[in-house]
Order: sequence, then structure tokens, then C-alpha cells
Amino acid sequence: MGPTRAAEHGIAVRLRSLARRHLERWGLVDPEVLERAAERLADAALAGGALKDDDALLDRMRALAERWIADFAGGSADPKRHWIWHAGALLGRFPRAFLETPLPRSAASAAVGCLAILPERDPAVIKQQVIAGPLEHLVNTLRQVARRARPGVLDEEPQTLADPAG
Amino acid sequence: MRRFVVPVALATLTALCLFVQTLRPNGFGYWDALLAVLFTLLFGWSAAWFWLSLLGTFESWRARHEARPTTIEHMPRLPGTAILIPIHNEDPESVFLRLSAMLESLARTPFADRFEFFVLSDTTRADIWLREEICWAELRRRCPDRSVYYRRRAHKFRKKSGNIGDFCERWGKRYRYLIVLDADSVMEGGAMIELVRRMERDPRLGILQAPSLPALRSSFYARLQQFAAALYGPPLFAGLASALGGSATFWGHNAILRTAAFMDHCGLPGLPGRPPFGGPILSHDFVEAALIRRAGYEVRLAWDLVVGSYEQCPVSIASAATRDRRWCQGNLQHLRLAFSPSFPASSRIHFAVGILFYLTSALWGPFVVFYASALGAARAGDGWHAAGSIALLVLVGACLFGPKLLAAALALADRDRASEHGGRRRLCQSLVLEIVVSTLIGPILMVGHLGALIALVLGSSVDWSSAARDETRTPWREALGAHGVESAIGAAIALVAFTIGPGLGLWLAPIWVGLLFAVPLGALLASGGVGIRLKRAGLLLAPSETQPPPVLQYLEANTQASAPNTTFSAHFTRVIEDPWLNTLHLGLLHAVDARSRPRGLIAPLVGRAIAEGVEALDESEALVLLTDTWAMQRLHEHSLNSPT
Repeated sequence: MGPTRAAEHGIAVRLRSLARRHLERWGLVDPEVLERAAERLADAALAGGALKDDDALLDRMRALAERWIADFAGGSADPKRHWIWHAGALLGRFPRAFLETPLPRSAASAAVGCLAILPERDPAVIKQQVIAGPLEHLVNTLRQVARRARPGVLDEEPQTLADPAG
Repeated sequence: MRRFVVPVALATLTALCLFVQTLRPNGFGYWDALLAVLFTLLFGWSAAWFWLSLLGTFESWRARHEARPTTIEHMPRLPGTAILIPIHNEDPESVFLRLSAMLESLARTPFADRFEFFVLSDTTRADIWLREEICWAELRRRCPDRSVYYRRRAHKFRKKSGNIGDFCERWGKRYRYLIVLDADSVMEGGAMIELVRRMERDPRLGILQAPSLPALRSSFYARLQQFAAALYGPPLFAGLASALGGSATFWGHNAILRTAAFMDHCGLPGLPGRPPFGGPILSHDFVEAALIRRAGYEVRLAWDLVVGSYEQCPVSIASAATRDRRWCQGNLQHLRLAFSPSFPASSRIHFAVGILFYLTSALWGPFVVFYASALGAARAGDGWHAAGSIALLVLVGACLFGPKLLAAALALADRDRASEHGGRRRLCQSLVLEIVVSTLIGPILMVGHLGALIALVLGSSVDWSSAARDETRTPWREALGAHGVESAIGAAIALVAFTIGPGLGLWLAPIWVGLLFAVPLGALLASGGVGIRLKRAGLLLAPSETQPPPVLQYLEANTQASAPNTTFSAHFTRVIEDPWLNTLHLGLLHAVDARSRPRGLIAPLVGRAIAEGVEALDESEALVLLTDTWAMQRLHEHSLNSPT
């Protein structure tokens, strides 16, 4: 075994160990399934191509694991019935079924932790109100009268009690 | 409104005439005129509360045999409603326990799926933040089909109103109604459904406020408040609802809002100038009610929903005074809004009432001292008007104690209500105890309000961080620190009064006795042991204790189980090592668009956390790591190197 192959083998062994620990902490406790799942996960992460550093490799392994567990646990991304709430219990109870779930081909689209655990946003704006104080009210009324009498004068913003800075 | 204002004005005028008579023998000077103005303010305030109670007593009596609201089973399908729980450095275990109780309560109705809970965190302390996340995650894992969401704002802006505003801008359009709760609020599922039903029935309703009764505390002070609110509250709420109609106000929690109207018309501006009188609007609820009223919507008080809506009250005089200082500043900030023609008259009256509450509370003590001196001088002269003085005393006494006696009479007349307070005999004993103790602590609260007013006028702002909600003891040393000044003031008043004359000393006894004994009273009232002993003796019982609804029973049964027993570093380590919690944490950071810091800045801190352990980090360093997705990912992945 040459030095490059030895280094690659070392990385694969280490990654398998980390994958085992990661899956175990997710709730996969069956030792035989754990071993095989970790091996598949590590191999899949390494097969994804060269990466700039170890961190990127670990991120890829983790993202793959997350997608694999999501697919196994139902894959529902509905925040009401998200897979994350029962994944741990299912891994503990049905380890063989997990192993039978196909490992995702790629985790490229999924960053770790990109979960839809909150409802989808429906953006809107709260309209900031204008509160005129007594003096401002008087000034604004006079302005309106003046504007009606001579259009074009006093075109500045009306006076309000509100702090423009909020 | 007229049936409220006219009798109050007549009673105040009568009392003013009698008051002036008591001063006249020595001539009526500028000093007397000033006292008369003060008297008008103070008596008018008491008369208003008396009249509200009288109105409410009639209203409650009339409504006793009216049909109850539609039973839940016969209601049509309800629209989606979000239940918002804004929190800021609260005890997470208690918050989520209350939330679980409400979930359980809603689950017993056919409409559980129509309500979605949002815990909206503005927490700034790292340890509390982690506990909030863990509590939420564990609750969701226990109940995966319930809609309970948690989000922590990345950028805190405008405190609670900004927190709710942020929710509205993200998800407000998804829900027709919002039920806003406080961190210490809890509501029965049936009460929440009834709020929605009433909003559905009346499209002009913008805000419907449910009264909330204090519950679930055991200190002497808290049980006193719980008893008083349960006994005196219902007729008072009925009176308020009857007098105010559609121009009631919003108390900030235990209320339902029409989301679209709220978003269109209740965006708060800041006030020009610096705190305490400028800056962000602190007591935002009154202003939001005024804004929605300005837009043509009604704000009502659902006085009959008093059962099913609860909150927790302060456990000691000291914690009540701290809360009052915050509310005092918030209400005084409304001074400039009370004169704003932008609002309807009824809303401006609400602002004025909020201000008057603190002004009258602070002014009655000095008034009594100066009036007693003036009266002493008048008695020394010729023409002392004894009959007038006695009539005035009776009138003032009726206004001060009348509401309590009316409410007690209402409860005594109803066997079921009396039994909720331990039966008629115990109710009478509790009433006497409450009147005696509240009379003693009145001057202590008065000094607190006066101090808060003076501090605000001098430009001192109050910290609006979360209220102390824990059941804590006030040992003697702490009571001395909290109430030493009040005791000194009481001793000084007694000394001066008795030096002038024994008569004056006795006249002023209602003020100096309470103040002089402020330290032992503070310690006694904060005591949980005394509160529990009184409960065992059947005193100060409230319906929330004798016949607790299911939501309170759930809380009582589970409170002990919720106490936290792990350290911050243990929580932090758990969120780093457990991939489930770590993934959830990262998911929550993504959900609020948290960004990673430049690697060069964050990597050394990650390195330190790995090398020295999270115990070595201070609060700000922990917060930096917790808000950074890259750092939390690295820490988890590094943790895989070490065995579980």
C-alpha cells in the first residue's frame, strides 16, 4: 500500500468511526446495523469527490446522514409533522428498515440544519401609524388651510408626534 | 358613559362641598384651594371605582341566571388562530409547562387543530436560550402532531411590541386572529375558543380582552392578591365592561386581536426625545387599543370569561413595587398622547386614567398629612363643623371600602360562590384579613409610587427586563434592604405628628403604622410558609385553589417535575453533542437568517471551546458561538471524536 492509499484508508476508517458515532447519537443502537450504516455513509461521503478540507467532508457526511434519516422517517417537510420529531424513536425501533432505505445519492442541495421547522413565511408589512400631538395637529391644520388658499406653498412633510427614527 | 360620569361628578361635588366646610372656620386660603384640588382628584378617583363596582354588581347579579355561551360541540368550524407567547429571559420550564397545560386543555375540544402556538423569544441570556430550545424540542418530541413553534429573534427591536410585530410581518397573514399571552399567562382551551367565536360573531371587534385572575402562587402577598382579585374582580370587570362598552382597552395579554386590523392600524411609532418620556412606547397595549379604536374598530372587555384566564402575580411587596415602577414609566409616557387629537376621547381618557392611577396613589399620603395638619388648625378655631366632617368621613369610607363590601355581599348571597372562598364564615374572615393587610400595605405602595414618580421626573429610566416571577422568599435582611426607607419615613411621620399633638398622631395612624412596620410586613407577606398555613386554615381561598379548572390542575400536578436541575455547560454540551438538538439549533438559526461570522474571527473561539471546554467561556463568548451556524457545526463534528 502506497503512502497515498494509506492516507485515504486512514481517512475512510476515521470517517466511518465518526459516522458510527453520529448515527448512534441519533438513536441507531443496533450494533450490526450501525456498523453497516456507518460504512455506507462514510463511503458515500468519500465518493462525492475531492473536497478542500476535512470540515467540508464532515459537513457532507452529516448532510447525507440527515437526508437519509429524513427519507427513512417519512421525509415530511411539513413543519407540523416534521420528520425530526420522530426520527430518533423510529431509528431505535426499526433499525433494519433504516438500512433498507436507499442512501441519498447526493447531499449537495442540503446544508446541515436547513429544516422547515417553522411555517412558511407570508411576508407582510405593519403600517407605522402617525400620531400628531396637539401642537402638531394645529400646525398641520394651518398648513392645510394655507395649502388650500395658496397651492404649492408649504409642501414639506406634516408634523407628527412620532419619532422618525422609530 | 353618561350613567357613569354623572353620578361620579355629583358624588365628588357633594364631597367637595363637605370638604370645604371642614376647612372654612379659619378662612379659605391658597393652601386650602390646593388641598381642595387634590381632594377632588383623589375623591373623584375613588368615587369612580365605587360607581364602577356598583354598576358591575348589578350587572353580575342580572347575568347570574342568563344562558351560558354556546357549548363548544355546537360551534361552527373556527378560523386559524395563532397563540403568541412572547418571552424574554423567563424561566423556560415554567413557560413550556403552561403551554403544555393549554395544549392539553385544547386537545379536549374538537378545535385543537385550529390553534397554533408560537413561543417568540427575545431572550438575551445564553443559558436561558438553550433551556428554551431544549424545552421546546422535548415538548415537540412528546407531542409531534401539535403545532408548537419556537423562534428566537436575531435582532431585538422594540421589546414585546417589536417581537409581536416581527411575528406579524413573517406569518401574520396566515392567521385571522392572534391570541396574545404573557409569559406567565395561562388560558383554558374553552376560553380561547369562546374568544374566537365572539370575534367571528362581531366583525367590528378589533380587540377582545379577557380579564385574567392571578393564580398559582402561594406566598401570603400573592394569596392576598389572588383572593382579592377573585372576590372583587368580577363585579369590577362587569362594571368596566358596562361603562366602557366598545371603547374598552387592551391590557397586553390574555386578549384576542383581529390580525388584519392590527397590522393595518397598530404599527407603533417611537416618541421623540429620550427615555423616560421619549423613545420606544413602553406600555404599547393602551396605544394599540387607541390606534385600533381610531380606525373604527371596537375594543371590548369579555368580563364574563373571568373563569379560564389566569396570570401570575408578584410574590412580595418588593416585586410588586418593581413591576409598578415599570408600569408607572410606561403610563407616564402616555402623558403626551393623552392630549393628542389623533385619538378618540375615550382612548385619551384611558391614557389619563393610567396616569391618574399612579398620581393618585402617590399623592394620597402627602394629602392626608397636609389635610390632617389643616384640620388640626381648623379644629383649634371657632365653628368646627363636626357633622360635616363625619359625613365626609362616611362618604370617603363608603368609596374606599364600598366596592369590597359590595363584592363580598354578592358572593355571600350565592352559596356556590361563597363555597369557592371556603364558605361564608371563612369568606368573612378572609375579607377582614384582606382589608386590614391591604390597609397596612397601602402606604408602602404609595411611597414606592411616589419614589417612581420623582425618579421619572428627574429623568431616571427603568429597566424593562423580565419581571421576577419566581416564588422567592424575602428574608429579613432583604426585607430591610427593600423596605428600610419606608420604615424610616413611617417613624419620622409618627414622631413629628405626636410631637405636634397626640390627636394628629392618631389621625395619621393609617399612614405611619403600615410604613413603620414595612420591614416585618415585607418579610411576612413574601413568606410562602405563611401563605400555605393560611390556606390550610381555609383563609384567603380563591376559586382557583378550591375548584381549580383542568388547566390549573395540570399545572399544580406538574410544577415540581419541571424544575431545572442541570447547569449551563451541561445544556451547551448537550446541544453540541446531540445531533438531534444540534440540527434543530442550526435549523432555528437558519429560520431567522442568522449569518456565520468571518472564519478568522470565529475559529479562535471555536478552538478555545474545544481546547478548554465550554465551561471556560463567558456569557458573551457563548452567545457568539451559539448564534454562529459554522461554529455550532464544527463543535458538533469535533464532538464526534470523543466517545459519548
